[in-house]
Amino acid sequence: MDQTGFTENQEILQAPPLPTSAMPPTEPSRLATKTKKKQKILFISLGTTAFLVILAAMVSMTSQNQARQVQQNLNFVNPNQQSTSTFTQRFQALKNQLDTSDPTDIELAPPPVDYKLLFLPKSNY
Amino acid sequence: MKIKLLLVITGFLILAPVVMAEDATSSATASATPVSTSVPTSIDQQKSDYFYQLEKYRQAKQQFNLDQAEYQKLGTLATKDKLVESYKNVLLARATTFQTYLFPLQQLLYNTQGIDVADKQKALDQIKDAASRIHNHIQQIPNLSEEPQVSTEAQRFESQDLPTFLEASYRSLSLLAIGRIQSIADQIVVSSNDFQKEVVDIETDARQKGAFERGLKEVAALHKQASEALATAHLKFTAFDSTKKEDGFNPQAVYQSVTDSLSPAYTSLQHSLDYLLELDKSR
Repeated sequence: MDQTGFTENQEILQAPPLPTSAMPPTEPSRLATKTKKKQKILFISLGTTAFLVILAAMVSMTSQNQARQVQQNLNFVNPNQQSTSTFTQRFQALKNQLDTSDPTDIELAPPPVDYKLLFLPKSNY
Repeated sequence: MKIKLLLVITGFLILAPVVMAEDATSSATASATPVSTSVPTSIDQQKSDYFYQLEKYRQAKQQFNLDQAEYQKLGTLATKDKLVESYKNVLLARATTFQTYLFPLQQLLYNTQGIDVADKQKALDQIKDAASRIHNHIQQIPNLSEEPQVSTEAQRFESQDLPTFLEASYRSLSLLAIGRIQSIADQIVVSSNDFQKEVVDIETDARQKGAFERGLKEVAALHKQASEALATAHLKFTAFDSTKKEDGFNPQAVYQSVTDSLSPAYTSLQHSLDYLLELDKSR
């Protein structure tokens, strides 16, 4: 048996595993940075999607409000185009107008102040 | 670089909806607000100014009462001087209150329909005259320093200028009451005529048509009652011009008689509108 050869083989078999120092020293931090970047992109994508959803919802709400406003304008009793509203609406609008015109309610009575102001009460003169 | 770009886009996405929503709201408000609503807003502001002045007057009056009591108690020259200043302040606050009251009244008169043009013009001219007199009084007060001078000016204003102010106020209030009822009465005539043309005349069911016609006759009768009451109110209103002012003329009493005459018109119009609503529901 080739003693030398055996020893060599044994040395080869028993050779210690490759030390970690064989990996480039920057590798772990590079991997960590890469993961962080991926996470960042993921969060931004999620945020953007959320904002897009909010934007769509707001646009939808605004357009609904505008449509409702147009509808209200159509229902508004215009004295020149009264035929656009129903008679019930016209009569009701007049009734509301009449309610605010009660002659016994003074909207703007003359100021409740003293209409005679003397320097001293009369008894002192 | 990419991250910066993404942040800019994100920022835009946050701000854009807010800006768009604000634009949409303001444009919706603008389109929904008729041009005429700017005037009611102005009247509201004028009313608010008037109530603010009224509050200032109350404070000035309170101080005047305190200074009066102090002078009566001590009778010193210093307390008298203080009382003169206080008297001038309360007179100024009162005049300013009258002045700010006339602005919304004038604006309401301008905007109210159903008023005879000549009557409206006369009331507006009287408001202008009253405002001018109050302005002169306001200009006079700061120039006075002695008590007799201030008292004389106060008495002159109360006897000569205040009657004009009160007449302008009650004349305008009477016209506002008449105009509002008259305007609604006119609109009811137009609406019931339209109802006749668009509903009653084209009704094919004879029984329904008969019911409509009877209802409209009732509305016409109520309208006649309202017109008569309005005519009476207008007749009462002429007392503002026919009564001799030196005969203890009381503008508030004239205003009261006008509003009393308007009450039956108000009730008749209420009933006629109830009738019309019932008729429309029975279709």
